[in-house]
Amino acid sequence: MVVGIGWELAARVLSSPALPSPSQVMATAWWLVGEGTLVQDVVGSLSRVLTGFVLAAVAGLSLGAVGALGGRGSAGLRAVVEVLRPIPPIAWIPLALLWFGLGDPSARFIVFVGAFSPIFVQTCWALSRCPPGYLELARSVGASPWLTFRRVRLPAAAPGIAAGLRTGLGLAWTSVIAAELVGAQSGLGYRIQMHRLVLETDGVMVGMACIGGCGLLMDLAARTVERRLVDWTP
Amino acid sequence: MMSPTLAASIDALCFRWPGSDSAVLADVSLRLVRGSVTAVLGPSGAGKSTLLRLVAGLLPASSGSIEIADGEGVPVAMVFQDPRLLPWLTVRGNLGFALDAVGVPQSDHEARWRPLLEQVGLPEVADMRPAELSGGMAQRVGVVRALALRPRLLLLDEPLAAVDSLLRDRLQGMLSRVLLETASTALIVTHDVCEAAVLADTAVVLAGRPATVREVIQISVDHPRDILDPGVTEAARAVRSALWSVNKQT
Repeated sequence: MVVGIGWELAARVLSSPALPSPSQVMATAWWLVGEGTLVQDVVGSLSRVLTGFVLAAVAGLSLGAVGALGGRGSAGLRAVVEVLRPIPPIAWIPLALLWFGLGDPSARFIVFVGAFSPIFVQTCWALSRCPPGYLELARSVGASPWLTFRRVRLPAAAPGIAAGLRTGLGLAWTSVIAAELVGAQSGLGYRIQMHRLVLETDGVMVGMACIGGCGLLMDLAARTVERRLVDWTP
Repeated sequence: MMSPTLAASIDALCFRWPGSDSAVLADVSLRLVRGSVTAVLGPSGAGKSTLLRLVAGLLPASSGSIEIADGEGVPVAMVFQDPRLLPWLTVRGNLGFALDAVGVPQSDHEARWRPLLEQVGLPEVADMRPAELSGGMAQRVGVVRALALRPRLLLLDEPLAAVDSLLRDRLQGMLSRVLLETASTALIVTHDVCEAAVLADTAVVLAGRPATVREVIQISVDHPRDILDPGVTEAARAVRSALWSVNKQT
């Protein structure tokens, strides 16, 4: 509240296009909603985040499970991911544009790249660190490897996997904005860029507020799902 | 060929950890009579829990043999020092997991564990999670999980070590009664001479490096026993004295 009032006063005193007042930003947001572009941009970005994230989740979970198996193949897979992991999603944008051109496929690819690493690493880590006591119990009752995986390893790893998925979702959202800033024709990142080019700071701020709001809502949804799935953790 | 009165026979069992020169156990031989309880005692690090893990098949013996008599049910089931209940499953789920592992049809699960839960005084906990149980309740569920498998040999690794002394006395009585009612053959590792005197028909003292069987004491007191029975007190004294004498030698 105090920040809002301070901002409003500062904007009125400075009266600069670089610092629109909160009331002006809200008015612009209302106008963009009425015009329909804001909703379209949010839906466009969300759709890219969700498709890229789902693909990253499928690949990260399955390859993470393979990485946790142990043996030479798993070590090789982990080494490849460790080499690729430090490359930030934004560094993949030129390659994505060369491979897929401007538009949706490039943005989805960048989202995939951003979300994949934390999901893979957490899945691999969580599955390979099952408490030895639980595994000894499973062996003592003669549980098959599949039953042990399904009823012991996977649930024991679930909190770690859920944390990886939540981090992946956060990074997916960050990555889509980066991708849309330079390689898309729609979406919140694209819209921010357009507003910036015509020096509409209020439009840029509306886009940023939408990113924050959507990210927060997605994180809340992910936390709710996580709490239900891993309701046995303290 | 094993005698029909025996539930299990351990012969000249030796164990050394892979890559280690020194053996943990050497030439350990035991005969476990059907329906009897054998307690294994000895100083810390004598290899008592290792012996149990070898019998459970959780560790491979370096040499020697372990033979479990043929019959119905699984050959062995183990009760660990900590209950090892899977926290994401209810009590019903934990018991079901063990029964699924040995191939008991789902439709028979409840008939297997329900009477046992009642025997250990926990008829109401089936739908509770382990976090909702006290330490003693969780340990009793661990005992039920092992007994529900109907093992021909029940292995108990210091099952009451983690509970307070008052609760331990109560649980010893419960364990003694349940073992008697289920006619189980059991091999129990314990540090507690009173526990051995209340539960066991035979007390075996392991000691040395590598550990060998130093003393075998028969406890001929009728079950069910009470810690205050003169026979039990006498047996506890005999076991304690054997432990002292072994401690002096090693």
